[in-house]
Amino acid sequence: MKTTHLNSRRDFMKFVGVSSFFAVAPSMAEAATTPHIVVVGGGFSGATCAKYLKMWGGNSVNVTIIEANPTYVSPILSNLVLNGQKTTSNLSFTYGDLSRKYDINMIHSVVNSVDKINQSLTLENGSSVKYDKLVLASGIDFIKVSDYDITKVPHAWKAGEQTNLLKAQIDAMVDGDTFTMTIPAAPYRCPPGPYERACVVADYLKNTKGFTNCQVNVLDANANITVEADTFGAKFAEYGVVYKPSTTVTAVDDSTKTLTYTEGDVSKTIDSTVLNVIPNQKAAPIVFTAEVNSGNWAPINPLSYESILISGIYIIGDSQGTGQPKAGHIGNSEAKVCADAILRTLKGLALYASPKTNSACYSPTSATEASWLSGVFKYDSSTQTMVLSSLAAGESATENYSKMFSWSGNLFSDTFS
Amino acid sequence: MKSTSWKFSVLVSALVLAGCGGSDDSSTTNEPSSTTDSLSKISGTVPGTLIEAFCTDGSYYFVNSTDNNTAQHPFEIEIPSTASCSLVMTTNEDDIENRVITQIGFISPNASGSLFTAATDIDLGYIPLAMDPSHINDINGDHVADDVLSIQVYDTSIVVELENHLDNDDDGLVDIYEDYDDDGISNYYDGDDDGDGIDDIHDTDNDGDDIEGNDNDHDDDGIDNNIDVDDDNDGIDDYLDSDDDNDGIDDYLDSDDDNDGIDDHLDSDSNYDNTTTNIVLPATYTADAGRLLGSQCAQCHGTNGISVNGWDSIAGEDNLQSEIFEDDEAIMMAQAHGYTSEEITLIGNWLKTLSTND
Repeated sequence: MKTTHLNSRRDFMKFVGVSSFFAVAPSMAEAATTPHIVVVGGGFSGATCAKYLKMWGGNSVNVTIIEANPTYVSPILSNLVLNGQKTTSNLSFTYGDLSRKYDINMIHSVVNSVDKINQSLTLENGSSVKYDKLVLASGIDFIKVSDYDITKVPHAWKAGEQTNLLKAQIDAMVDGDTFTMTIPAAPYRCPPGPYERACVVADYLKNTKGFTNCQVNVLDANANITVEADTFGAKFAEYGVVYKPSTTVTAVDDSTKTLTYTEGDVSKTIDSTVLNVIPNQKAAPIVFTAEVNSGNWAPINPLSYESILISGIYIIGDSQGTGQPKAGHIGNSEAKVCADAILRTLKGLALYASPKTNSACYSPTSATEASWLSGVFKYDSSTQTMVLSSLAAGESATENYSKMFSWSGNLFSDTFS
Repeated sequence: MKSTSWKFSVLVSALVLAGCGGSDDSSTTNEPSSTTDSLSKISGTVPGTLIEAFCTDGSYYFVNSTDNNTAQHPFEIEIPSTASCSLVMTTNEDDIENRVITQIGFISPNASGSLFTAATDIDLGYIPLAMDPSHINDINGDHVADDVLSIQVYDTSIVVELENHLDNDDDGLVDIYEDYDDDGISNYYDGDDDGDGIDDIHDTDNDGDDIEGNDNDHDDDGIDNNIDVDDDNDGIDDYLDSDDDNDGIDDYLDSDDDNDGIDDHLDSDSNYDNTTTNIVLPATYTADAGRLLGSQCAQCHGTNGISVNGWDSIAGEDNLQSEIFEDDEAIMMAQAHGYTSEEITLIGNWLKTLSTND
């Protein structure tokens, strides 16, 4: 306890109260106290889940968020940091208001181990936290091809310091330099994101910096542009982006910024001034620690997001293994279904049988234009999976650029306020 | 003022003896705006005067002295008993030509300075403020006296702070009354603080500190907005203030509560949450399918249907079916087609129950 970072004295008192009670009298805990739901991860999925658990469950539940960072930097809109239209501080969120408003306990720490028998987490400082229900909302982890230095070859796919590193490298480019980025094999976080980034960077170099001789290379592990292919394909043509589908990264040299990749059966290399490798992805480490993964992701019941491997553990957001996209908006959406399901379960009610989730995303394609993609997912009881109920896309247009901030504004507020 | 040394030790222009008389006359004050329960009343008499208190928690208080047809107008101003504050008094405050602005300081047995904490009520007695600009030292002619008017206190009723966080250049004068561009108009009254020819309201760097955009201090009181309990120094603490930046747009309609040019949803310092009190949490969970389905509207339309920006709030919506299918936004149409009419009815019934001004 003594080294756990907590938000305020009030949080500290609450945390001491909860954990010491459990530590002293674990057998009494369930009968004598309100259920304790611990959410690991305070991003779009985790923060939303905690908020809605308290907003709907109120004083019938205790809710704790365990989040490593005191400040969360949104990956949504973070490509606009690269062209200078936003800063990472513009996209930063803290947890004080959320915690106070909804009476959520905040612990800023990292979970080292999960004791599923005793339903207890051990934090990196050695303290333990008991849970009745555990929600894992910890995002993604990377599968790098080798142990290269990500400060030299940033992914910038978790926002914050990485975003600023990539921005600094792009800002140091001069006319004639080369920017190369790689797109991971699906599934990965934010399907339109890499294509959006290629457009924003190409537009920045060409139209903001006025560089006419820079080259932007996009090496895609997928066979085609995975989403909004018409929109991004047209923008790539407009900017002169060199797009190579079906490429596999095999080596990264962080000092020479040399990328080795295969295209067909042929191994090739490319040298760049700035190299932005977005590695392939898998569920966050805690999913593997808790052993709720099957392969790279966590299989769940879409009615509740409860693991199909271990009861009482729920996985939402990018780590879950349904066919739904991995992104902040739908992570927020899944979190509400999960929160409602946990509250129903605690009250002995049946799960809601036909939940809906939705995904929406505005993508900047330049400093003045954006496109959008939107879909609704429904539960298909015959396959017990989430399937598309509707899907539509809007092409790149200036009117969408300002709407992008209305969308993100309400999404940010619904998640963090 | 920048050219003048402001150290108290050399610039005590007047000593006023506190507790040696003064008026007991009652006077009017503005309502105290502190979040703390405990307030201390500072009273005394002055010539016709605007009395302002700037406190290090960002709170701001002001009162006009009461004209009692004598040369000594009584005043009372209440400030938090636990906050450190600084007093500035302005005579002829409505007369630009004859206005005189005086920083008040204190000399106590332990320390001298212009930032103090008053744990209890205190009567400062008569404070002989100048009424005529020609009677003060004012090298740059901004009507702010170059000398701090210091009041001698002999007991510990006032604790004087050595460090004044409201006074970054350590000249005794609170920063808000400095004259950054030396144009003879103090920042407080200067529409162009840094003299770059761009009005502050349009100037992304209005204090000339070379920090573009949001430098996190909307009212230039030296307290960053994120810790300032009164962002616009209007005397109403933000948590009670429905219009944090005094732009005339209520916060719940204002996408930029602190007028720093950064929309609230991107602004970590907007304090827009501080304008709402903690929500009332239910005692227990009650299942509601319409609420579960309708919560999926919140990503774009705000929690419980209250949008924080220009997009529609949908709380209280009473004709959802036609609204979403006749919407001129293609993205709304795309979403609408993903729901059955039964689901839309459930959502609509829930939205009707929601308060439209959360």
